Amino acid sequence: MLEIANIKKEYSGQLILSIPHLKFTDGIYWIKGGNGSGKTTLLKIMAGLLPFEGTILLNTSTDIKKNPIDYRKYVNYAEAEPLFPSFLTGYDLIHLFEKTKSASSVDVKNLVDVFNIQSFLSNPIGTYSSGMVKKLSLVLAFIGEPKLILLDEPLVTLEDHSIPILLKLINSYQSEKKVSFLITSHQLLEHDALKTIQGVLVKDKTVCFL
Amino acid sequence: MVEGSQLVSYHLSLMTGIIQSTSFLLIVFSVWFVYSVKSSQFVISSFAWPQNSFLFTLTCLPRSHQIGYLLFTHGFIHLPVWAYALVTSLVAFKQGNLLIGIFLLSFNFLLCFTMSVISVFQLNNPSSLYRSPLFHIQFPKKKTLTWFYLSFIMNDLKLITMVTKLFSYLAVVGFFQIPLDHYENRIPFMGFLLGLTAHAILIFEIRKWEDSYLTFTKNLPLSSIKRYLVLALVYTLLIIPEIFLMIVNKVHVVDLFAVIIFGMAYLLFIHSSLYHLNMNMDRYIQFISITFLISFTLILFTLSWFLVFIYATVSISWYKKYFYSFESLRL
Repeated sequence: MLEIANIKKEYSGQLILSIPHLKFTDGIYWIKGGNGSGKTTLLKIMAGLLPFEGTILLNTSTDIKKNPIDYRKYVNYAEAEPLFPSFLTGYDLIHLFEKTKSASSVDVKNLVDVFNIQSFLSNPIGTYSSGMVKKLSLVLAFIGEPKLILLDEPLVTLEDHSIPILLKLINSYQSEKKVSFLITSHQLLEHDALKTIQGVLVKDKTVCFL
Repeated sequence: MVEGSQLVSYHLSLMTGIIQSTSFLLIVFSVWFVYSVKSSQFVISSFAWPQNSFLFTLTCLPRSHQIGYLLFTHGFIHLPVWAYALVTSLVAFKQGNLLIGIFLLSFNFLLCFTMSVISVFQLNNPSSLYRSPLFHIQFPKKKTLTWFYLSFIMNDLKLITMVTKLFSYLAVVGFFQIPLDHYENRIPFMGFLLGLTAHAILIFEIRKWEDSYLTFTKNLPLSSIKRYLVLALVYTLLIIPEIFLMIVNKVHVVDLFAVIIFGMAYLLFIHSSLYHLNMNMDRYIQFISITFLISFTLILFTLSWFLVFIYATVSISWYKKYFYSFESLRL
């Protein structure tokens, strides 16, 4: 599903990540690692948000650098602490994602219903609580026909009763749509809720399977 | 454009039109109504902002006091309309149309009063705040990326935009004041170049905002050319006031077309340069100064189209090169 090779990432000349080779097959992955180990950097690189050295291939053919548009069509990302323009409404962002990710409006409406966020979507994002922004960013991450969804700390600021809803959605996307997930979380991802989750460790500036 | 000497007679004839024609009066009432709705939308939405939560302490006061305060607020926002309505009423009284004069003032008072009552209701029913139809008036319904930029400029950069536009306006008008006995096509370019250079701070703020709040768009499947065209549209819309000024000053059609392309390409060039300069303000100021001097010299030698070509080519290549590879130093 996703193959990364010779990845090197530096900030101000300091090496942060160095991954010689790693291949993710279809599935759900739980990326673990301490604070500052490079989990978010790894996800941002995979999402196409950060420049890096090396290659990333989706489904053996879609190169993040050579086919940036195709790649971004199939890889979605939700940030740990999403930052959106405060004067926009949730609907403004949803419409933008719906259009650019070629999503069906029925699917989008279903996602909005699942997360039960329709009551505040018409309001400016500046009036949202951090939990509301988080839910919006999660909805945006599921929009379209992704093959890979990257979720950075999806459980942070999410209310208790929304967590099983999210985990159920992840399960259904994996089993029904064959969407893979790479999830970072400091909170325990319950094994009962998520099928066959595989561990990945980011440590000592590199990444390995557990 | 109305000449300065004819301004008073122009407005007097407009006011007479309002007083004597029912259909004109209805049009003016509609415009004032829309203005009231928009200002009410602003007042109501401001209740929802976290920094304005202290306003809810007003609910401790009796309703009549609350309406009084909000009436003052709405009346103040309505001041430009009040000024025009008041003078029109005085003209109506002088022309013997007492009823129309009173009607004009009553209509505006009714608008302010209604909007105050609605605002007080929203203030006392915070749960209905978000459901208020006034709060939800959205235009356009589905906003594009271009609209995101325009909203940012109109919402967060109001003051910078106003000062920039004022300076730009004065620069263009100033160059048109140069007395000449024949048409000179370098004049609009020179004035416009000075006005465009004044946009440097505005563009810097837009780039800063992109790096902070639009990073999520890097994950969207949009080509860099499409993103570049979005910026081209934003900057073309931004220079509409100057273009209008050129039309009023009878700039020839071919030159007008060249000026539009020139303005758009110059602003895109400055925008893209910030990727190349890594958002370094010191280097940016030097870059702007040097670019201005070179551009001014080339315009003097009637090489405007060459400039357009350089700006467009370099800005596209920088944008394509740096869009995905640029990394904000704050990361």
